[in-house]
Amino acid sequence: MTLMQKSNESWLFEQKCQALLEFDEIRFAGIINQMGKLVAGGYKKGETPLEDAAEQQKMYMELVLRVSMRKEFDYSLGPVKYSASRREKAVMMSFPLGANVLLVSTIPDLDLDKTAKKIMKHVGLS
Amino acid sequence: MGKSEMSGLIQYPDYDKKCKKLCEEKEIRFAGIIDEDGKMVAGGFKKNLIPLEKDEHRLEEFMKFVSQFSLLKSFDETLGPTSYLAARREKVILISFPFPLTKITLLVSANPGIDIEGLAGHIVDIFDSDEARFAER
Repeated sequence: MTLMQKSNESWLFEQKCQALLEFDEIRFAGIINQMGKLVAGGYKKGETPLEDAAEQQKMYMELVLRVSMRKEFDYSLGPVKYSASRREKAVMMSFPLGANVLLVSTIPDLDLDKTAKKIMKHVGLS
Repeated sequence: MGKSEMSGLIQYPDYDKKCKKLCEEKEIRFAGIIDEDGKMVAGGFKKNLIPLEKDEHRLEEFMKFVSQFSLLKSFDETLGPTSYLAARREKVILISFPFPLTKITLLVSANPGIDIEGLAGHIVDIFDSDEARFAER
């Protein structure tokens, strides 16, 4: 990938995340690369993160590990469209996006499938 | 995990009954209890169903993976405890419910046409009273 292509990709990722952050129920939308680094997006303006910076970094690393391990079973179960964890204070959703992962954190009170479909449509995954 | 390996390993007869009941439902393929080492200790596949993962060793690896990640307590303090983990795959839906006190995980797989939220709610209705009972220990 040339520097220009990389720059275009980063711009596109940033646009997608910012568009997702327009939704009321979404607190965080970010693209995490294979090294577990946030390369685009972030928290909604004015939103106070539930985790500190160290925990965020740990979360990205754990996410990348989970996504990579899940791929081991793609051949028998089919590829992952999205995965989610429903927690007391948030729903964390992840969507494979080429070599990267789109991570979205939302309020806990929402319908998982409906929200996932909306996100996938918005970022061009469906 | 083959049926032969399951016999004699049922450590949770009440859960086994509930898992088997879940498996009678049309869209559910598998309902089982996995211990912290990834071993299935109750429940199993729907009768006469051929698992998508046909290799027993890889199936065990998968259960171990599900158990390890479901029981992780990372971020519990900040995000609250996990109610369930779900994955929508092309061929199947997977939902796992960690029971942290007893360090076991309920894993359910279903056909991809159904709604995750509806399935999760249904599973909770069936298992909730038992989890509460274990929580009292």
